[in-house]
Amino acid sequence: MNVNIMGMSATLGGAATRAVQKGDEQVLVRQAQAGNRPAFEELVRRYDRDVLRLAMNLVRGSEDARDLYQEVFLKAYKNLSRFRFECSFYTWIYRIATNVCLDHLRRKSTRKEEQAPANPDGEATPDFFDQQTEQRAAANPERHFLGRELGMHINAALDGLSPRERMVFELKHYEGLRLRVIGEMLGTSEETVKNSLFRATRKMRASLGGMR
Amino acid sequence: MEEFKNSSGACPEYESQIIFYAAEELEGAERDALEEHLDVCSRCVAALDAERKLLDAVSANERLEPTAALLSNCRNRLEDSLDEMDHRSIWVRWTESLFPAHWLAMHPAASAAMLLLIGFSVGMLGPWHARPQGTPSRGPAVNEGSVLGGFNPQEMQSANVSGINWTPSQGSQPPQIQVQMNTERPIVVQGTVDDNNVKNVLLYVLHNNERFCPDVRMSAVELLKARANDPDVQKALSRSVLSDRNAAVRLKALDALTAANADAANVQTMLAALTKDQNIGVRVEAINSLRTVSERGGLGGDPQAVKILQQTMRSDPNVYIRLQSAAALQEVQPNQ
Repeated sequence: MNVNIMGMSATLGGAATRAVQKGDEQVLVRQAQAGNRPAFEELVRRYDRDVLRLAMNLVRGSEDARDLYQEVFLKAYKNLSRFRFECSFYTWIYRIATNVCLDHLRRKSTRKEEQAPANPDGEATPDFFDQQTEQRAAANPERHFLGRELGMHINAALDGLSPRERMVFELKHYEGLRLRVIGEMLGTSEETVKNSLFRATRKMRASLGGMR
Repeated sequence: MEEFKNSSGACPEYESQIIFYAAEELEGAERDALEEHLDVCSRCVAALDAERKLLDAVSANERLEPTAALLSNCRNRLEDSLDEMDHRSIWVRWTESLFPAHWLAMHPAASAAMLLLIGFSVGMLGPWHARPQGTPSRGPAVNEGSVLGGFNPQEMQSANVSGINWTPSQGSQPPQIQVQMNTERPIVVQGTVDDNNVKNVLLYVLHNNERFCPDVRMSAVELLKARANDPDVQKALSRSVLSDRNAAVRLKALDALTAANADAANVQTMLAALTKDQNIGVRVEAINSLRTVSERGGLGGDPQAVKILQQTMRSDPNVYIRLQSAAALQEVQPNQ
């Protein structure tokens, strides 16, 4: 049976494997803290796909996501000595990632009205990596076109959320994290996260309910 | 999408609980209370249904997934940034060890006096110390003489190669190369790799690899490959294989070294890359290089090569490398 633990797919029977991985991870973190670059790079390889996916879906573009990826892992590298094993390394990396992405969303939302759209449709010109993703989607045209209209509405509704609501909604409904864990990552209480999720869901409902 | 609207039709006191219930975040007494209420309230049942439809639609929304190309691009950029950061932090650590920040903050008067004294000492003793040696003591030591040819060593110490351009070779003609350098006066070196000035600048890039960006180092390796039999070039390529920070440059340098006539030093470099390099791609390339040398009869059942290939066949952490080592071993000693 598959379950989703902190955004990562794992099998229930793999508890022992996870325990080994956790011990192995502690060793890697200690090595990285002692200045071992390959150990840090191994930690990056374990989580960078998740971080990049989070960034890509929050900013909906590869170019910004690449910069966010860079910022997240450089911050992690600089602050590695401050990691005290009070939470899992995954939670710590995600805390950095959510902070970096939140800052980006906040900057973007304050700049939004000042910027002219990139083209008359208001969509940014896709770069090479965006095109790669688009080609993958086009491999299943039926599914792609059926979901496209609803997807556009959902994305527009997500854009109407505040950066924090957007982050909570993303982490809860797309990354599958528990609200308690989201609170840990955002450095806030579970109650505050619940409020953000409540407001986000209400806004989503209002936006999507108003469309036909 | 009218169905999403209905979830706001829930009893006001249960509206938030329905949202958390649908998100599987309602537990204990609150959950029991809501479930009891749902048994008797059709409005809240409809609201829960609408909430679940909303979440289903949201979950079905197509997600962007990072492609392998994008992930690889991000990792390469990160590696380069970490290299730069490590290079800078050596100086930061050095200065911090001399002037610990907390000590300076706690002793402002003593700190000011110490800094004045250091400034005075450097100002007075620096020029005096530099004069007898005849050369200024700034930047890392340069491997001059054989490398720098007709260039001023001082200029090369601060030189930054801003670009290497070349036109593809025409028939048997070697490619025309143009190396642009930013120094106190901009310098452009032109010619083929057979011109000593061009060769020396390219060698300088490889000998001082920590100062130049990976694409410049890659270009230098690629162009020097045409002179792979030159002992100076072999030495520089070996250095790149063993010490360049970028795996792609190490890989390319191995490839260039393979083009040279097989000699013991080159084989040693390949074996060192196979045993010590952390990068799987470089280790695979090292095996390929050894196989190429072996095909040309340059390995001749070398006992050290055999021993190292046996070791990697048994204990390399990567399955592919263990298999490739076994295949290489068969080629190196076909009768075994």
